[in-house]
Amino acid sequence: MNPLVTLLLAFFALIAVRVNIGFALILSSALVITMEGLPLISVVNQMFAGIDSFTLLAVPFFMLLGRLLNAGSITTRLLEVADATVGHVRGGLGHVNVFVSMVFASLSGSAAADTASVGSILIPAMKQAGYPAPFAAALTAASSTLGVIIPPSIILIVYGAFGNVSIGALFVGGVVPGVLVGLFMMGYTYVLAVRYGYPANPFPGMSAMGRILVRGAPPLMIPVIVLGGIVGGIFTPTEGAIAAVLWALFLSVVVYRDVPLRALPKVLADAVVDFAIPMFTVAGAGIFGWLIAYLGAAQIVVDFILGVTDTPFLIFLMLVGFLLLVGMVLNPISATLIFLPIIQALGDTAGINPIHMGVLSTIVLSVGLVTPPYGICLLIASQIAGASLGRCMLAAAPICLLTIFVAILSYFVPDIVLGLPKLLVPELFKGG
Amino acid sequence: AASEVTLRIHTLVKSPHPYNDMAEAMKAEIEEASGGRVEVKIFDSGQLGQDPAVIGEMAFGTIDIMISTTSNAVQQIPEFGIFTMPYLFGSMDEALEKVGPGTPVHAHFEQVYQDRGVGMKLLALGGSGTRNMSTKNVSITAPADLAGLKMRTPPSPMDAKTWAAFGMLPVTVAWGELYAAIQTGVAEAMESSLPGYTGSKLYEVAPNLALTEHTIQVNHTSISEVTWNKLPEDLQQIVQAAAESANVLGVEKAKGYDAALVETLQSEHGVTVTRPDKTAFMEVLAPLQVELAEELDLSDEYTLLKQ
Amino acid sequence: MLQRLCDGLAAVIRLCSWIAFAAMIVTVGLQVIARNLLDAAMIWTSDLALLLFTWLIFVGAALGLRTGAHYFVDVLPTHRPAVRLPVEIITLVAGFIVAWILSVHGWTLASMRATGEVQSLGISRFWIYLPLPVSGGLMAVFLVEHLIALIRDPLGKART
Ligand code: NA
Ligand code: NA
Repeated sequence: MNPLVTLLLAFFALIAVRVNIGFALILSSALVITMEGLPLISVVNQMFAGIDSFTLLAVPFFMLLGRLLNAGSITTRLLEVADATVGHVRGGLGHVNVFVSMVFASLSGSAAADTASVGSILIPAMKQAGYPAPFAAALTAASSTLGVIIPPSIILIVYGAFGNVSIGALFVGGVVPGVLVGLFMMGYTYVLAVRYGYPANPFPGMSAMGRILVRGAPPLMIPVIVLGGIVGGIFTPTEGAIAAVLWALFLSVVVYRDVPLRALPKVLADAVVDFAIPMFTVAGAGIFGWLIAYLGAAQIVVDFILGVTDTPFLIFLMLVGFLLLVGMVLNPISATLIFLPIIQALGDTAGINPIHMGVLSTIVLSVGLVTPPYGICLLIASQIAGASLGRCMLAAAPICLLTIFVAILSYFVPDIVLGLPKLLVPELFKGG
Repeated sequence: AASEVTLRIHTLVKSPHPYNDMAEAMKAEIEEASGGRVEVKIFDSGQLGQDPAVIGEMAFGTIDIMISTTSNAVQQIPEFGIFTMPYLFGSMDEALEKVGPGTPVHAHFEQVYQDRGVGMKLLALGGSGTRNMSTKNVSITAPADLAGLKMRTPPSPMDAKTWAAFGMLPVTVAWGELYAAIQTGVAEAMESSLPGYTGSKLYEVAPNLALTEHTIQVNHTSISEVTWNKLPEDLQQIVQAAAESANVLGVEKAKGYDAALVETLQSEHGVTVTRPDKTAFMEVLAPLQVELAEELDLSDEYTLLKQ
Repeated sequence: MLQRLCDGLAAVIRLCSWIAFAAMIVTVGLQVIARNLLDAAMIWTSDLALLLFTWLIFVGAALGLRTGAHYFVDVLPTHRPAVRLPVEIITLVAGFIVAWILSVHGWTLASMRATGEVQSLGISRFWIYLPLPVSGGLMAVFLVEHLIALIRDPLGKART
């Protein structure tokens, strides 16, 4: 059998019998390497190569940030801000759900953390207010994926680090499309709310709102520190993540005093497992992706797609389809790492700017966090909601379509992605 | 008929680049001379990974041949660090004469490969272009202009000490972040090969190019020992001969590319090119060289090259 | 007995990992401060942070194996014992093979790299690759614990 086919079949067979994704990547690669008469030591060599990057150090720091937000009162403060700002619109809790994820997205790079923390508060509240449980779960999960589009984003870090694209520019490029996806989700919620009569929360009044905004302002400084610092030339993305962690620590430990120092070891140790698992999967993706390159697959996929069409938009559509399929079984980090050569080659052929391409592929891959069988955010949300996964998936389908729609819209209107980078880092676009 | 042997060549660079020309030339010569017994596949642009991991694969025999810059191999072969010492050679031709196949330097590094147990055999060392300084704001005409600038360096003591001697402040930035780092001012100066400077559009953020020619970039063509020992003697000779002629071609190509790039950078990209007096830079570094070589345990190599 | 050993091991790993993580934060923090405030470059900070990072990934992944924190795709009806037992056996075998690859080949790799040096830290590159075999070894220990639990209670009656 063709070694590439064996590699893919073995991988699918392994994950189907509940072998974890990292192990499945390693074992299917080991199988093909043995069959090809290559030495198994390549497996460990390429696993190591997969994580040997200083830029990836940003990942643990953003994961820790996610833990810190939940350890104290920062998440609650953000929920209050969201409620005061958009809670009084019809479908209030739904808007709060999306809005807080947009803010949370700009604090932590992790979608699963957002689903778990925001979902555990908002899903029960939504059910009580009369929203169907599957919709509450679907909206929570789908809006959590904004965390991988709106910076800081671990996916964009991986894309930039291994694709030689400026992470700062990718971050700035993710802001507008991420917010746009969020606004579409709120629009969809509004339409449903009018049709099914979902309630709005009472408006707290201007003075209460002012008080809540002041309470929420210090944590909202975090995205300003990260993005401002990176774009302003004070630090690299990794260092920006550290600055954000230090600021969150300062707020929780010194200012709000709701995270005692003795609680920090647990927060740190939990965060280690949080990032060790995805990074171990990235190591597995290191050998899997290398083997795919070694067997010449990038060229095969590119040749296949170019054999079907040479119209840039159709190339892009086929890439979208490919990434949706890939996103179903791989988490976006591993998918980006493994298929980066294919994404970049097709992007170049279709004449798409590398920053534009990085953001577009990240938007499409984010959908995979909701789609079965490996839709980790929807899994978490459906568990919290106590609703069947199937009904949650049905409720999530229109929201996923909206996300894909924004990706396609951003293809036709590149300035949705590139407008802000052009404004903030214009030198990137001089010349051509 | 199907070939007996498949050889995979790794390069890290996108075409046009001397390394890819060398790989193409080796492919043509080997396939021709072996009468089709050998098939050569080129994996350029780092498709098979970055150099440190690739050198590992070479030892296992999964990748057969690599053509790359010696400084990328210092993790495994620290002796290669000597080639990052500025002003070792006057020109690319001089570099080739000093380090090419058949020279004592080549023999020395063949032995170093053995002693280090890297699992590779050295086929050739050659020159592949000059490295030059470029800056964000100031134009460099003399060593004094460098003082106080934040200089991007890889995390290597040689680079850090060299640039510190000019009063510069070394900053470690990954290549992929370099553009943004200079654009935002995290770094204000950098040094690179001309294809690297042009390919990553660094001229947009560091538009002042000083042709300091402080380093002749030395490249190595190496073959996996596993692969080498599997080849029959006649094929070994064919591969060795192909590497040597590609090595000479590489120097010629590099000279051509460098000259053409300086021209394009000036005329099409509005780069300000200065040609500072190199002796002034050499004078700053001369007292440092012996000491640096000693400190970094590279005295043997330094003496050999200065003979 | 083995379970208590594993509890102890997990506790030690958690202790070491929060200390190492804290050290990583301090190291990178120091790098930012040194460059921006003191105008001094420290070339060892990146290498040290990367070394700690590698250790945390591989040791943390082994710990995650015990706590069930790895990512799965759930398509099989594993609530039925007839499905669950073969699935558990397969995942155990898969785990042992990965542990074997990591420990044996990881050790070979680390030994091969031992002649190289991390220049900025002045240590052998062996220490950078060592977490691979260590992770494999820890995984093997935690897998044996799983295996024994499975033998004692193959149909998972005591578990949910
Ligand atoms: Na949400
Ligand atoms: Na984010």
